[in-house]
Amino acid sequence: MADLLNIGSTGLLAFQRSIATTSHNISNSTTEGYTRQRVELSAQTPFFNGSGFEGAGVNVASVRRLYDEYINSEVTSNLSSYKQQETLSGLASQLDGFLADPNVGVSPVLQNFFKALQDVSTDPSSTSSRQVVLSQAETLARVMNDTVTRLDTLSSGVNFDINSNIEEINSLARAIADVNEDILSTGGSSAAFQPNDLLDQRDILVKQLSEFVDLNTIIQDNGGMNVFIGKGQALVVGAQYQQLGTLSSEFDATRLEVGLVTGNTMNNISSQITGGKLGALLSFRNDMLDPSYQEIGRVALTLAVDVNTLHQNGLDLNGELGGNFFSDITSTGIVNSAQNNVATNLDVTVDVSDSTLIYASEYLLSYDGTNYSLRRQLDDVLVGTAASIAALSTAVSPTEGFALTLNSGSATAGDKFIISTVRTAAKDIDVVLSQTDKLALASPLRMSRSASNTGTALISSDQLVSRNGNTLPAAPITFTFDGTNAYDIAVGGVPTGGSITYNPATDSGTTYQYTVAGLGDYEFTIKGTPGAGDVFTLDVNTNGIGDNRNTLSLIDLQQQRRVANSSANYQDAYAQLVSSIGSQTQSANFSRNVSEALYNRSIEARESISGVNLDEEAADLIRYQQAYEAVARIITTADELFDTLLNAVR
Amino acid sequence: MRISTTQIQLSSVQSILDQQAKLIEIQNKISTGKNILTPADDPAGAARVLGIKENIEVNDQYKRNADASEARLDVEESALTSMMNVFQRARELYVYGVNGSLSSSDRSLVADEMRQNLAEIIGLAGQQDANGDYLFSGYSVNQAPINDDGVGGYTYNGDQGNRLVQIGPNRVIADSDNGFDLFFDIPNTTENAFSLIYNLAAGLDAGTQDSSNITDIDAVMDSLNSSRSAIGSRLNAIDSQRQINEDVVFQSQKLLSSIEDLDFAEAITTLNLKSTALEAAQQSYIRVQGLSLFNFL
Repeated sequence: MADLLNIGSTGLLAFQRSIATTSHNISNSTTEGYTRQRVELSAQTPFFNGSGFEGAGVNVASVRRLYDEYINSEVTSNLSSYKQQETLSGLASQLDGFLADPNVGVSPVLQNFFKALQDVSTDPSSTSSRQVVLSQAETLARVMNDTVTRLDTLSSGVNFDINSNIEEINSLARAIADVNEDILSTGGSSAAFQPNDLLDQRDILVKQLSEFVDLNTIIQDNGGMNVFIGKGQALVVGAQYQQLGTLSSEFDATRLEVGLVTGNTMNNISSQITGGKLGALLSFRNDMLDPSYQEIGRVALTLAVDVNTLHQNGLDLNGELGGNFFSDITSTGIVNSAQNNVATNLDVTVDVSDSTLIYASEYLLSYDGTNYSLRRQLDDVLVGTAASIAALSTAVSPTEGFALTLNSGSATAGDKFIISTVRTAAKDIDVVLSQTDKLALASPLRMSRSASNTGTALISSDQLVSRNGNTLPAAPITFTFDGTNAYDIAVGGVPTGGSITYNPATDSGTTYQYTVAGLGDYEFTIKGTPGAGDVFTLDVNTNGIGDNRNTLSLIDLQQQRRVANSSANYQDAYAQLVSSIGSQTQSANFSRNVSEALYNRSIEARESISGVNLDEEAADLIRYQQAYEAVARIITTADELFDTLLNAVR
Repeated sequence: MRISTTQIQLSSVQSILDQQAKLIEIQNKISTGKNILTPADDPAGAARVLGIKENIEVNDQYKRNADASEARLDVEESALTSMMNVFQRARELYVYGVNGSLSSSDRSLVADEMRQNLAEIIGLAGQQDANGDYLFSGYSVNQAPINDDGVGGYTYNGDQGNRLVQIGPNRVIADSDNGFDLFFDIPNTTENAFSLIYNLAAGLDAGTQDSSNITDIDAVMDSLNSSRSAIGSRLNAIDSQRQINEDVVFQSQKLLSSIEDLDFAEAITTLNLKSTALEAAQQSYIRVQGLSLFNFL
């Protein structure tokens, strides 16, 4: 009877535990990260009573979590890539939205600038048309400046988010270490008596951490968990944790990098961070923001160089040669690495020598103690190595479109510098021309034929095509036909001894170039048959305020392929950026959807094992209640048996 | 497969959210009428849209340039036509004047009238366009083209520039002619148009008139006439180029529309489908949420 009571009481305890656990499950059915638990029952060790083994009731073997380690790690890694893609797509959409905005983008104002030039070409002396050119140029420069300001806003947003992400990561790392400590103190190594709810809590923290950065976890034999980020950087080891911090980029103090605090030093681990929100911030900055700065800068630089060059070939309303139209943004310096030797004082000027060749890229200049080498960052190509800055300049300028000049100082082995020709161009572009009469729309010189010419020869087009001096010719230059096959050249009536070969039978329509001393190269086309002694006179275009020849050259820039090794016009180059950012945004959106689906799939898989189903718990509740009632009957039966026995002996 | 209660809840809500997102996207497209809301919707299409818009703008600009040139050439053509009429009258007067039967005082009257004609011609040569620019001074548009010394000497004040204006991608057109080509460098005569009339009138006064001088007037009129027909053919060229430009704009707009404009019929159908799907998701949510074994305990 005592055995029966014992057996009955083990059953009562076991089913009380079962009902309690079911209630715990029901209560936590909506708790995030809760893993359902189940009471594992086993028969108690039987004892030998001489005639055989007699059962001794039921035993609660353990309260177990229904948990799959593999599926849980799937959840964290999928969450990490989902959060990465979600953040990236959010940031990319911001950039994507304003680059192609028809109201604020660069594209429409670029067109308006050329439209204003077209308009003024039909009425070059009009002050109001000239004013429109200046206003549109001003707007173009402002929109380019504003575009950079918006990129800057995104950049500082990235800095801000890096900071706040790192704070979150640090507090999660600390919390995981704390929970580890709790688990270790409960002796969590025992397989039978796991601190289930603490384990859940740790899993939730790891899952939250995976939103910020991709991570790996390892459970140690003592039940502690180690968490690694990046390429094996330990963030949490048991009850110990390490902290992340921010440090300034080597070349740019305004650019924050992710650092790992080790002792008293902080190491830059930005390049090793993958996944999560933090990974998205870093890849957005590298893959989308930086190229945008470079590409817009390249369009601004090329446009400014081209317009300035042509504008200087012109003559303004006051009869003076044209100056710069946009500010000169062709000259920059080099940027020292913060880690360079303190003795380094290398001072180098970088000048754009051929804007059509310029890449939308920065360059890394490094010195190994013997040679300087220059590496193009865009595609990581070594473009030149030489023992001196001058020799390096000679080597790289024919392909890269810029020249380097050593002003003073020297470098130390191991030094690094950044060269950027275009990064700040769109920020720096400005219209320096402010007076409408300074707009050089005419050509400085004009050709005319003498009224006494007897032949039919004409000049069909004539223009200054390049300038190398500031002096307008003091005396007219004459080209007098010798009657057979040449024009003899005289300056102010004095023959120079030079001549232009012109055979009327074969050379009609030929374009000639004549270098005007102190000014530049003048191009003109002769057609027809001259008579002996016929004269063309090249003289200053005095009063030529209705002349639009230089305007036509400026207008021509719109359609010319002047950017990216002469492969694109300004509009094309900008459209390529819009399209590239658009594709990256599209692919980020797509990846976000895919990774979200994968994440949801893994959550489903986890829920199917670990999630609470209320119907199932209701059924369990009924089952354990029935079992409890049955076991209670054992107690009453034992009681009745005892009574029967007592009555028998009364 | 075992499904947790949370999962049932989450997946029902998720499908409602998904349907709502799709509905909002199609609704945005319908309300803007655009198929491409941001470049991410169609990166290649977005880049093409920028190029096509530029093309349309450029062609619109060619049309503006053509209009401006046409206005200037119209003024020039009517000035030259008036000038030719005056020359015709001067020619008739001279033909009348060389007639031997006239007295010297009658010839002086004819000469006076010819000098009136000359003043009229010089006036027409000083024609200005709508912007107040002299038409026949070449680039020197603020200089009156003819300088008159009062004793029969006429010199050209302008230059030999002919301003070109772009009216098509590969077409530029002169929007005027300089006075040197028109009046001072006339084939088959050594005189300029003004001193010719001045000298003929002086000849009538002096009695040295000669009918062979009529060929000089004819040379001037021939030259003016060919310049005028050259203007006519430039005006024709402007017309035909404008047609080409308009056609390019039309085709580009069609292309632009096919890339960025929304197919409303298709979009509305999609909208209907999506809203039906959303309703279905909402209804199934309500149905599923009501099911629980606890209801029967």
